[in-house]
Amino acid sequence: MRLFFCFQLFLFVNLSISQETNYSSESISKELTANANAVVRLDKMEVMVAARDLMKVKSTRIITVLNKKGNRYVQAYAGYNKNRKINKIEAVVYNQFGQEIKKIKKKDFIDVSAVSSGTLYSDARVLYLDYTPISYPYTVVFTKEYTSVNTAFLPSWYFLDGYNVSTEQSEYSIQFNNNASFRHKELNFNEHVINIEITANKISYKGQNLKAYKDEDYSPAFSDVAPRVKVALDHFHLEGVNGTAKTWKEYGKWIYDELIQGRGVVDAVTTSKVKNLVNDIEDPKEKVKAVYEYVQNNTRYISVQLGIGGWMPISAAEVDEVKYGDCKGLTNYTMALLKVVGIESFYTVVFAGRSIKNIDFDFPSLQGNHAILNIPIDGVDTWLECTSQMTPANFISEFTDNRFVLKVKPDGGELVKTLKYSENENYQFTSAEYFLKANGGISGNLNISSKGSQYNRKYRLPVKTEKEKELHYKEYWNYINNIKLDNIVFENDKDDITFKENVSLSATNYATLNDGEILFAPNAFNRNEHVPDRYRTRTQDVVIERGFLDEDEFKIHLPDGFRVKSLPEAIKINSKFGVYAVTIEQESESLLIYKRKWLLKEGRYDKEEYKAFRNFMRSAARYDKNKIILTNI
Amino acid sequence: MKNIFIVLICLGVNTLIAQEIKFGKVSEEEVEVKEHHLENDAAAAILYKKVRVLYDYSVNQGWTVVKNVHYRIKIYNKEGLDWATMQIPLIVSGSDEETVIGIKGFTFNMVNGKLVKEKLAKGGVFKEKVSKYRNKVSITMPEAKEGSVLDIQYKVVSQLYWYMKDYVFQYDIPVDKVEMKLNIPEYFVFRKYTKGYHPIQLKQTNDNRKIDIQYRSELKAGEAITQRRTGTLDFKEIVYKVTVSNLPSMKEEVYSNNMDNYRAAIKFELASTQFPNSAYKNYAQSWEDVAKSIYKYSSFGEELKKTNYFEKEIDQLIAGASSNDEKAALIYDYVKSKMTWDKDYGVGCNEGVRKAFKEATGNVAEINLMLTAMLRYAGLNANPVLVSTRSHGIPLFPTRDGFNYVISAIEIQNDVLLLDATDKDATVNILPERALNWKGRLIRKEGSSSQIQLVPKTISKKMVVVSATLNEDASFTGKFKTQYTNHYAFSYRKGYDPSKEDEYIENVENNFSGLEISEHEVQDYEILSKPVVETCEFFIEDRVELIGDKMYFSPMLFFATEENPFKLENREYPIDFTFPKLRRFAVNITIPDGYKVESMPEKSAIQLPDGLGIFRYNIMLRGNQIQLLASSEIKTVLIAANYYDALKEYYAYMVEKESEKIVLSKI
Repeated sequence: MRLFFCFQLFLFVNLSISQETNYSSESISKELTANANAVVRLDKMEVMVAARDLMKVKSTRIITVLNKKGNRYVQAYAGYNKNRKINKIEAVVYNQFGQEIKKIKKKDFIDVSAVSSGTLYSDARVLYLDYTPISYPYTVVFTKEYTSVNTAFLPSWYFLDGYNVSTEQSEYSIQFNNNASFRHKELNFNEHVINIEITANKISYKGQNLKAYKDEDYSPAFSDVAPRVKVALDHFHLEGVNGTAKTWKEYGKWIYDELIQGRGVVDAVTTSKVKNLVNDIEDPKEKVKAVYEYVQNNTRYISVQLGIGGWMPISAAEVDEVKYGDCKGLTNYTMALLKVVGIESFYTVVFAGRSIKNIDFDFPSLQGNHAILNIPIDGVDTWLECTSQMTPANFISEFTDNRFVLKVKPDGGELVKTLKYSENENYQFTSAEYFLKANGGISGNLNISSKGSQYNRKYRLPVKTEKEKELHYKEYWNYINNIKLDNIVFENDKDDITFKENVSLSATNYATLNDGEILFAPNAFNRNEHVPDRYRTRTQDVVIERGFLDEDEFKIHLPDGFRVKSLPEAIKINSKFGVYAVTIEQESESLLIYKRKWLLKEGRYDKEEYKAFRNFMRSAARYDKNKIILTNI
Repeated sequence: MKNIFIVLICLGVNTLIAQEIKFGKVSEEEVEVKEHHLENDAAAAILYKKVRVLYDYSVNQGWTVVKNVHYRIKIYNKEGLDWATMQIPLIVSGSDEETVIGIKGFTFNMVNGKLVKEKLAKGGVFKEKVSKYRNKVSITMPEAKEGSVLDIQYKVVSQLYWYMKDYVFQYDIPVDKVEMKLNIPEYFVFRKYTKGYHPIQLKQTNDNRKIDIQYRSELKAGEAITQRRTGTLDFKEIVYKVTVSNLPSMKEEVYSNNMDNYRAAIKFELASTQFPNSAYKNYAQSWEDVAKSIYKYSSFGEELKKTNYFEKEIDQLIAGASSNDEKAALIYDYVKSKMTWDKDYGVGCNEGVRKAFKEATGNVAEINLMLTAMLRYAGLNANPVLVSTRSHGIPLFPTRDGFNYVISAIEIQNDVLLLDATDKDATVNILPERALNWKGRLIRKEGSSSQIQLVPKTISKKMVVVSATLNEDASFTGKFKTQYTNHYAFSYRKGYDPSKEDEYIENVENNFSGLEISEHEVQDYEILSKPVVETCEFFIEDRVELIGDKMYFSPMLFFATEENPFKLENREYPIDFTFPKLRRFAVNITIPDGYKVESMPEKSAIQLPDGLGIFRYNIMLRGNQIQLLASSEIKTVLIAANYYDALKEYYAYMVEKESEKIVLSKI
């Protein structure tokens, strides 16, 4: 009887709690609604790892959406496929007073295929809630339960869901029934109130009242500042394949043994074809280029993700037959072809993207979203991006550069860092000669030479249509109206990885005419117009992930009968963020030489320095518009 | 000599035969060619598209439509490789669905001077259930690279015999040749419409056709034993043929509404059916028919008739109202505030008005038919108006699926008031942009209908009054007041959230470097019938150039139009400005003591031809005050492409004029 009573009491307590949380939005504290479009009232997940290949997940998510922008945080969906089954899914919607207005059962969730953009086909599907909010704020209670055979990826946990969303209560627990050994890592807990409880086979976290972060220009990646947790098993399972690993060496070994090995053989025809390619080549670097070029000219990127195929590359033989594949397949194929010509290369797993994201070096687990190829030649790494048909060999700027990656070797994995492009290597040089006319027009010819990240933004120009090229330049020089482009010539030097543009153009009314005077900005062809946003209070540190250097030299021919009234003084700003320098020299009565240097350094600074950084950028933008006056003689 | 002649003639005949394009037979020349003969910058081209449509009949399946498709695609450069993957969307309608069979494909390449053919294998074909209403087949070709020619062939079998997708002939890449042939049994009468800028010739002939059918019939009446029998179905067919060549590529341009409006295509829509031993069934032939047939939909006409679900609420709502105007305003506001649009389109209701009313959400038909019914109930002459949204294209022809949206209209003396309750910021005659598309069809109770102009006639204004002082340190301080009317007010209300005023101000400030805003106020944000008025004080730096002892600045301050939106040299398609508009700036600037105006921009005006628009720039000096009045008015919404040069010049002039500077010098 006592037990019964206990049970009753338990129920009662539960009930009173849920009444307290009563889904009314009025009880939310002010500090949680500040900067927030939605407030996560409760985000609770219980993970039960019942066996190496069986994981049960139960979650309840209660979210109050404050306005339209908060809708995307409802996140009432559940993915599924052959090996991941949804056991329960339900949502209940409450109005701002906490009254129930709608209940959504499993059959009312929308069932669609979950093929992400860029993927042709995958077996992933998703059930999602299609709810039209009829007023704000409103609250959704979303519960789901699913089971999965894959324990290679245990759910990771974010105590905050993103920018402009706060969290009242966040609970995550994971229990291991099989005495499994597991590892965990807490990141960015900092000032947040998060309790941790660890026992031999269970770990739980409880976070409370986490305020919303604001999204700002030049801030660190959200994942670098948000409190979160990662958990991994030493003995795991992935789509029918078991694995054991707790160091990078072991992870690499497992990937090699289970996913890569034996998939790198091509037939005799291709073998001899590839051998012929490098017949007359001695230099291994040149051999790599020849093979890479062959891959680029003969394959293309098509992504198909099925079961273990999400992690295992399709075999080189299959790629050879159809001549397409995803990043894994094409990387493995290139590796196979290089092997044919006697060059050893390594399949490498990376987090790709413009924003630099490292494989978390002190938390060995399955990570990454992309594969590239590593080729050490005489102790120097060469990197190949095998999904691109146009990128030069060893060019990985703005996609996989400067980050820790997992190099998969037959004897195990190794964490290495990819190529970094310094500010001096992200270089653009513009030399121009132009004629200013008495009627205010200009005409001229210029050469732009770009490297590094600046190369990356241009090298695809040659295959664009004429219209697209025209638009590119009209947008690049959007401060010059009425541009007429006369001639455009490109030269893509893939050995030196330099992109050269030669452009002839003219424009009317570039200068302002005024009572026998001409007013014009000498910097006609490379103006920085970007000024970072101003914030009344800056909340995040300042991050400049990549620097760059621009140098410019313009010969300016003045119109007949006009002379410079007074030559502007040279400008030089030397700051911790970079350098801005301009000189204008009078070569002759009618010829000016304008020189400019604009260096932005990569770096990370305290949030207090944002204002100084912004001022630096703003000064540069202002000086780029500076004008010279010519007078009639 | 004679022999040579014979050879020559033979050659001539040969080339004629070679022009017939056979699937799987590609010439070396087609693979070797490096660029398109008309558009040398094309990334890929459709060398040939063949469509052959036939109707089939079987006792079990009834009528099915079989569409045979053959594409021959040429890839010129790596940007064109996307064309080596083809996606075929398929409709699912309950138990009826479209399926794809007989997929075949070859990729042709030149390898060491030889033509090599690679077959599409099963692994390159993917079938996918996208959702309840849609399936998809994706085909990706093997060995596709620069220079490849791809031959792809497949059949779409459809049980939806009443429905034919538009036949599109124009793409983002050039199309060299299209051949289409449709055989339609006499039982089906389709109306057909060609559209687009490129003319298409449709040839029509008649033919006879026989279909052998197998069926089982009872040996004796009432007995269970059946016998297999065969018979033939003899009937006439109408044969439509289209042959088009050299269709240029099409690319998106600014201010162009929906590019599909200009794309070469043919549309077929079922007008009537007459099966043997069945009654003649008419579907739609004129706008009147379309209106009538939609009215007959239970999800339209029946839903419009229902009133009991709202009577109590509406009785209460309009109890104190005396005039029709007042009642209409009350009801419109009531529906807008009660109902939320679920973003679903369609001329028919999904769940019905009653459920929508209860749940406070519904599709466009549910919301606006409900509104219409309530207005009628209150004694107003209200009717639904069928609309095709901008993304759905312009309904050039009377077709049922030409409409995908419905709004409400109140007819009063000589005027029609248009109402759309799907958008909380919409007001009478100020419809959301999606509905501002050409013409709608108003349907009255008795079934008569008439055309309604949806493109706004009244001008929308943005009028700015600025009063500023130029300080000696070359900054400006001042105030401005902006009045937004009609569509400008509508979009202002859309973009502004009073609870996020700080965010809004930060955004404005960040759009104009050096700007700081204070004392920001928005009047009549809530009163939709009035213009929105925004006032604030400002401080701005960086707008004056100090050179020597002179100051140069544009009197437009930070309000100038800085870029010409029309950048490209040529334009083929009309320019769509969505609504007629006027932007006016009245600026008053006090110059600092110790300075005098050395020069000012001249006053001027420029007009677009045929009164399409006018830009005015008036400036004068009064004591130490500069007074500027600049305005730009676009009076016509849709402007033909032959005015492009004039329009481009107009904007260039405006941009230039608004950047012109006043020069001050020290006294």
